[in-house]
Amino acid sequence: MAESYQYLRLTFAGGSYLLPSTAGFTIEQRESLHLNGDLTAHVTAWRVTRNARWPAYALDQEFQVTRRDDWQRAVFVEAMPHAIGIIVDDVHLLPRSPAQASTFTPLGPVPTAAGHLFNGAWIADGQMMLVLDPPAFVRYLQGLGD
Amino acid sequence: MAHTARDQIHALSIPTRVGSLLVPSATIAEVVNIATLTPVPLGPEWLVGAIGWRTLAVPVVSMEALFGKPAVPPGPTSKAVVFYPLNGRPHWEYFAILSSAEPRPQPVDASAVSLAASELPQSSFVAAGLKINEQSMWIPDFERFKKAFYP
Repeated sequence: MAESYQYLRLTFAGGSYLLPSTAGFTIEQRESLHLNGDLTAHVTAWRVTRNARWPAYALDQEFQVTRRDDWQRAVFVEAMPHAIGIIVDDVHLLPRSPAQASTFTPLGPVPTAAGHLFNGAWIADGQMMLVLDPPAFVRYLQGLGD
Repeated sequence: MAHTARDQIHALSIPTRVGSLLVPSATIAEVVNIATLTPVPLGPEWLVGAIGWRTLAVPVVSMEALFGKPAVPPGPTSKAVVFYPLNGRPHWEYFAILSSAEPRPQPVDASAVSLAASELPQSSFVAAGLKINEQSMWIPDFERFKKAFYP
């Protein structure tokens, strides 16, 4: 951590989190996605490509799967075998800044096989945003199922 | 024989809703007000959030939840007691305990009485207890903290 990354700020469920831009991502509008009509399913929408369909999940403030209809955008993070997405209320690429994220170690058991979900924090103007660890975040989303 | 200042240990009494913790002052970096507590999703129940402190994010622990009781959200008199990193942990891994009120200095000298095991709370996070001026205080087991915090 503490490198001069550029960050994508993801806002959903009342919280904001930073994703290092090195993770690789695409932003899709709701209109370009296929909505999942099964309201009991975990996946909110799919981005259909020629060879695959990429799932997008809505998460609540505890990062548990939820279903909602009041959204307009999804951010897909690059992953193998295909990208995986999260529904967001707002997404914003932060300008490069001399301020840096500091290393942060959450306490307690690691929630994913790839480690803790967060590995840093950005603190500025009395506000703090946790920085997502892309491999752990992807692994977590991949474990949510259909 | 009279006790001298050299026979004293400088400690801090940290009030929580499961009792007062007694910790050496040297383990504490600072006591701060809690302006904002940022949730840490997917954390254990006893990790009630994180605060921005200096340039760091510091995780905040609820002793109530660590003792198996419901976590109590910070109130108007709550403080975050920021501890130095535990032995062997990286230099940035400060952590904080949520206190229900302002901690206060508590000198410990030979007049303190050790509590029997039967007088201690049923928690593996308590290493020992002392009674000082008729008040019982728990001495936390920092090694046990380390095992819970960084399993």
